Amino acid sequence: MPRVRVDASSVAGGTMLNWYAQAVGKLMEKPLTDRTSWRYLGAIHGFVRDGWIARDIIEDTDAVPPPGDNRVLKQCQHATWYFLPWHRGYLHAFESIIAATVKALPGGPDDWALPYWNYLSGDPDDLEIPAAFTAPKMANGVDDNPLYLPPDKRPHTDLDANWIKLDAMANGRFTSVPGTAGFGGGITHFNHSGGAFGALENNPHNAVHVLIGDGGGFMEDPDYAALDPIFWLHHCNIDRLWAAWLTQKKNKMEYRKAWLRGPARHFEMPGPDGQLHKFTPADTLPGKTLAPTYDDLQIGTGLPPVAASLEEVTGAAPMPAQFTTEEPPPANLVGSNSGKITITGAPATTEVKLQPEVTEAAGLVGEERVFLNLENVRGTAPSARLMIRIGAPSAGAALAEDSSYSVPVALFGLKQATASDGEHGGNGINVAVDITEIAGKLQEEAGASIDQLQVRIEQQAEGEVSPITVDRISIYKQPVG
Amino acid sequence: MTPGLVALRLAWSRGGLRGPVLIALAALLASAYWETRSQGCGSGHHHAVAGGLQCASIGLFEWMLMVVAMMTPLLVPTINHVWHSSLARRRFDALLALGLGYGVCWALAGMLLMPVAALWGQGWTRAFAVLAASIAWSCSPISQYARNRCHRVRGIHPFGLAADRDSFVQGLAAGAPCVLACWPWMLVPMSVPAGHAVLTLAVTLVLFLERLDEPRKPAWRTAPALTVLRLLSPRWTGAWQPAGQGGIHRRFAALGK
Repeated sequence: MPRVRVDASSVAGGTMLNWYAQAVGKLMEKPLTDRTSWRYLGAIHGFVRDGWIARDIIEDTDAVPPPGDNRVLKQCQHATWYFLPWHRGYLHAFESIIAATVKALPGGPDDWALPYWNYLSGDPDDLEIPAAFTAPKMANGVDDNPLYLPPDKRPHTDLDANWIKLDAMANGRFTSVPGTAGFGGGITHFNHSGGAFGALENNPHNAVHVLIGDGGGFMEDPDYAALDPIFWLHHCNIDRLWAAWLTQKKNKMEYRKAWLRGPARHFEMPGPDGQLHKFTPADTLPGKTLAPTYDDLQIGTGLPPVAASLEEVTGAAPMPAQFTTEEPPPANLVGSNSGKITITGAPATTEVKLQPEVTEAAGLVGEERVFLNLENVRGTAPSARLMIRIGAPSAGAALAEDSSYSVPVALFGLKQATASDGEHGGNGINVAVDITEIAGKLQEEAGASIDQLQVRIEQQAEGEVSPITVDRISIYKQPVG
Repeated sequence: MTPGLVALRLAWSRGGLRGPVLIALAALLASAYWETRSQGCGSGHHHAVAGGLQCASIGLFEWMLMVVAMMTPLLVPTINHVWHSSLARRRFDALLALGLGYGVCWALAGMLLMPVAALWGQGWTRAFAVLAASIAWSCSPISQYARNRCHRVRGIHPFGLAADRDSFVQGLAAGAPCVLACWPWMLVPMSVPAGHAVLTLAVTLVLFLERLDEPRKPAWRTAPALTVLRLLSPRWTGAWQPAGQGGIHRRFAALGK
């Protein structure tokens, strides 16, 4: 039977979660060396042996997967145009293994599918982690609940609505160019950490990770994140947002071979039989082998009702979004601050000077999108949250506390991106956020060209705040179309 | 075509590689031409120092041509960074400042390495010994540390003298670790009695492959160029595709319908 992914808060979702808990319990009993074990599946996302021993995930006497499996571990793709297709393949592998485990349970159905956590449905209750994850014991009151994690591993069970947004869904291009944030991410090779986030990855993906894990939890660190059972429901919702985005005719989905075929290092996942399977991003597109089916692509996606046919919605045929092989138009730098800033416990404020001829000729906003960039963000915490407020006091548009002038940014995987022997040589994280609407409002308030923006960055964290540096804060403009 | 080559082709079609590779080829040709011109100073680099001031200056010029030929393709990510970090009207100034900073590092290195090459002399046995030492160097932790640093980029101020200064400093920051990672390899083409240009090209390819490898914890390891070659090797994927549905090209064709 076809697997249909449903909302975890629905009745059907509740049933799926009940089976999920039992199957997760089975997978947790298996050793790390078993490719269908809970820990092996978590290690595909990220693995650091010493850290896992320190956090009692494995014993120091436990065997680790053989060297031949190193190509499978620590594989997750972030800050890249492969973020969405890689995680779609990862979810498929996980779902197949859980489904096979469920089927083998007494009375287990053969159509189990991963439910999604629809935190942006508009129902405030959905901002809470589903109840199945928060009770230490199973319904019988005796057995431990495999979906539960104690506060040191999952410090938070609810989301702050001010931090999770659906702005990414309005982004019509999948691929970013330097200085911008496309829906899916920028062109890279195999990219485990560091680099520039795509719009959907930045928010809500990163935001949910950091909000749940903030303060030492599994979810805030890519090396542990997939060990929290809520990880999979969160990613299922992120994947659903991509599926929903593909239903919109105006959206331009990447279709160049470099994306379709994936990077030189293969994407590889275990199946329920423990055998490894390679896949490419092309395999994850609608109508292809790894395309999932969702019961709904509208609620909590911020999109108008789906104009696609039922066949298209269920993944049986290509989606209406346009497949394109064209390079997006380049973005141009129009200004930046004067140098590196450090954000500690107190907010840091900096002036972003704009190129005079640009502001004189057309103002900050014209027929172009405006992006604020935080370049080479570095820090020692696994992740961090920054609230960025934008104003133009010199033009009469003061820095407002109004949240409509603010942009939340979550830096998932900050520590790894900062490591000098990490994948990007310690270049940190780059974040580009679309501030076209904010710039437009400031322009209107100022009534004249703006030659300087004021940017205030505040770090928000649980407990001790470790410093974060930003090499440069810049503004780029990209033509619409 | 392998995915790695697809990525390279994509970079070429976007213009990211085209300029640097053309510059490198031009420098290689100029270097080969200059080698024939400098015969009056002797038959190779080893006479550059011994042959007096005029020949030494010719040696340095040729050294820098060789640096341009070999290093420009490696500098592509840094060039892209400076290009995208600069205002459109300042981009060529920024690249000039970057090249100056980078060139200063290699010019200083040349002043030290050319006498070494002159003392070492030329010959196939000597060239082989230098090649073996270069491979060993590439496997070393210090070389890995240097390659890690080669990936590092800095913030560039967009306006005025500060922009030129930052681009120049970026050149220094890229050049110093580049010298540390690559210096023995530069001696390989200088040690051969013939086929200087061919060896220059071959070493450029090795260094380019090394630079494609990602930063890693400094430690003794297999030559990074071999690691990258393995990654670029032909492959077939799509094991999840049901049997009998044909190759990836057919699947692409199906997607386009």
